[in-house]
Amino acid sequence: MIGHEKTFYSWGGKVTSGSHGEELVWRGDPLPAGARPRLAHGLGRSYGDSCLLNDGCIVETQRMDHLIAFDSATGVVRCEAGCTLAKLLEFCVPRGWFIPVSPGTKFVTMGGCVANDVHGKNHHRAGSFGCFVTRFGLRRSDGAERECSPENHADLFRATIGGLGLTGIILWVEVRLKPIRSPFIRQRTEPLRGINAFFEVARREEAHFDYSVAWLDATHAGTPRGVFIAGNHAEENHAPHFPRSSPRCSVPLTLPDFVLGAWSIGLMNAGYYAANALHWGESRVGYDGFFYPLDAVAHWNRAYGKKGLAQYQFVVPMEFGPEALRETLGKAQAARQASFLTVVKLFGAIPSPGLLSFPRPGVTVCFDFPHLGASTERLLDDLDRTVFACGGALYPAKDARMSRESFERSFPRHREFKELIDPACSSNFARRTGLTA
Amino acid sequence: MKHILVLGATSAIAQAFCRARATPGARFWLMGRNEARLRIVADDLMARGAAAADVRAIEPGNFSSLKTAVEEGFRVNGRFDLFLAAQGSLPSQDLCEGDPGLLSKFFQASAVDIMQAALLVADKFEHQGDGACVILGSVAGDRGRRTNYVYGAAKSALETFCEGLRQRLEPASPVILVKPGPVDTPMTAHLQKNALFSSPEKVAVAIMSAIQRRAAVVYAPFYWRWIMMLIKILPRRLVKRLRA
Ligand SMILES: Cc1cc2nc3c(=O)[nH]c(=O)nc-3n(C[C@H](O)[C@H](O)[C@H](O)COP(=O)(O)OP(=O)(O)OC[C@H]3O[C@@H](n4cnc5c(N)ncnc54)[C@H](O)[C@@H]3O)c2cc1C
Ligand SMILES: NC(=O)c1ccc[n+]([C@@H]2O[C@H](COP(=O)([O-])OP(=O)(O)OC[C@H]3O[C@@H](n4cnc5c(N)ncnc54)[C@H](OP(=O)(O)O)[C@@H]3O)[C@@H](O)[C@H]2O)c1
Repeated sequence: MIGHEKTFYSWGGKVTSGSHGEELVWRGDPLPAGARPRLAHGLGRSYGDSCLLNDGCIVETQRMDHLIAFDSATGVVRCEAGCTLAKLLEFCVPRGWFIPVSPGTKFVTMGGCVANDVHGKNHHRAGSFGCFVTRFGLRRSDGAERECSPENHADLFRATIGGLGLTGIILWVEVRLKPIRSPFIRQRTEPLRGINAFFEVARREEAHFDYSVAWLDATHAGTPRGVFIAGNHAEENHAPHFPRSSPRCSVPLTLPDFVLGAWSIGLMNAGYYAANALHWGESRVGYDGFFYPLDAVAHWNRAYGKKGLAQYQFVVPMEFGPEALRETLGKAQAARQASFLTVVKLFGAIPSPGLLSFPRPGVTVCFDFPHLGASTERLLDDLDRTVFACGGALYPAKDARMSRESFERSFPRHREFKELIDPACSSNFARRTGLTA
Repeated sequence: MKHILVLGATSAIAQAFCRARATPGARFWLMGRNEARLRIVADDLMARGAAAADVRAIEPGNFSSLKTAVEEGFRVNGRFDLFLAAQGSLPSQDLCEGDPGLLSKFFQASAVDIMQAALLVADKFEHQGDGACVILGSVAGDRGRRTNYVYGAAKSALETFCEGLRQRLEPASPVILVKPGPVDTPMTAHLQKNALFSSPEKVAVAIMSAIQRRAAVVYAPFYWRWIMMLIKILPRRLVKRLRA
């Protein structure tokens, strides 16, 4: 353990105050002593405040990144919790295996993927990350390491998947990888016009593709337009693929707030649409470009200016999908708040083992607003009304504002979860939502 | 480059180097002070496909445990293509000034142990007729600085040592001193990071290329050669006043 005063940031630009950083480099090392509350922190790719803790000890895990075991026959890999998906991909893709569920960036840790039970473009086929976790090692404040699996400490297994880092420090994770024959993806893109088109295309194509997602231009006046993107791992091996181990370029400093104003966001959305419109249909792309297009630019979040960005992701049951999507898009437009990336995806019915897992059958929508202060807050409150009227839920990984009430409505098993929180763990998110003191 | 002997195998830089070499057929002999950590490193290399990764814990400052470990390594593996010395720490200058015991412990681990190991290996390499010897120095060894001259002194001792050992072992065995600038590793965890910091992976690449080129002294990244060249020609009178 190596400790010092340090300020931590989340991807949406939230910061800590009075926090102390301790690096956990070796999984056998003891956890920080003392009475201060603590929280594990991976790469801080959560947008809100679930990876932050004021006046506490933040346990940094990213140096703890060793592989522990790999079975090349079954594709079961065990590695330490600070190992990033980027490092794991570098290891497993040349050996013919892929991460079973991947979020939109590979610069996240295994611990972070478990703690948020992340989902990817294949949720309709595969379920969430937690569905592939066979076991993990958890160190609680009593000092003992527990091996948790569906058979062993099953209560902690379920609580830690999607457990927001509150059940202890995950030391290592074992997952089942997915066999692939090629590092390439056979991608299909299709234009979308109107909300109903999205649902029609998604339902029709889902049966044929492992991965699918849609991007909507929420700034377009008139009928919403967008792009439906789907893909499968290519069958045969082609030319070698050289993935990026680090971003191609970087936003070196926080840009002034006007750079990503409503205007320029509209322009960029139009540009993105036009770029896609050049090649509708099928193409072969590298996995980096398909899964992690944003990773090409390091610190792209700085483009959103000092106030950062406000992500807003919700899920509603399928029957309310079209209505909720129409209403939220309408509200954002009426409030003249431009969302840079509006992503829509259908979640499937495969249940996650996690008690607080966010993905559930239905439609998920993710907005990406520049934070403009009070007007953005008002809009988000208004969007909440639509979401909860439809029996929906908000995603903690993207949230810095949900109330205790919103949290409890989103996660009906919160009581069961509370019993399993490690008394030494806390986060700014947990304090706000009444999970911890 | 299949048989690799490492002192200070838990170092972030040594690990980055070994991971990149952990291909089928690679055999590692990992020495350091902490057996549990060495095991973690060995398991990682095995998972990546190495043929063997053995660990030997060495009692700090105990020459006979070092000698036993090195000799056993040569006995078990038959030979080594490379010896990498990455052991070392960055002590607080202030504490070293006030605590003579700390000063000698530091020198023992960051200079004496390394020279002792290199001399054991040198005998074996002479016998083998080949084998590369890589020692991690630092840009801090190029010039004494108010804030870290104890650390710098150990590194410049290693440089002079390498110069002589090189005369003894070349041309059969290259002796390579690698001098990194600041690197983001546990050794520098307490320091504020800036644009001058490099990564263990980049230093690992520089080490490999130095071995292939049989270079004598390399800076990592390369541009430190030019920075240090400028700093080295600064007149002593000026440096005295800088105190940085
Ligand atoms: C560009 C981008 C795209 C994204 N796309 C998606 C997406 O498609 N789907 C999706 O689900 N998410 C997505 N996310 C969110 C991201 O995947 C999650 O927030 C993820 O959990 C971040 O991982 P991290 O390692 O950075 O963890 P952090 O953000 O540092 O931490 C996240 C949570 O995990 C906990 N944690 C981390 N390590 C440990 C550990 N060792 N033990 C216990 N708890 C731990 C923390 O306490 C915290 O509660 C995206 C984020 C970005 C920036
Ligand atoms: N990081 C930099 O900025 C930088 C710059 C220039 C040169 N270097 C040099 O590069 C080498 C590797 O350092 P690193 O950056 O990779 O740091 P690191 O990860 O902290 O590794 C240091 C290594 O030295 C061992 N060690 C430390 N003190 C010891 C002692 N008293 N007795 C025995 N072993 C001891 C450590 O063992 P444990 O794991 O058991 O602690 C570890 O194996 C060092 O020689 C360092 O001086 C580093």
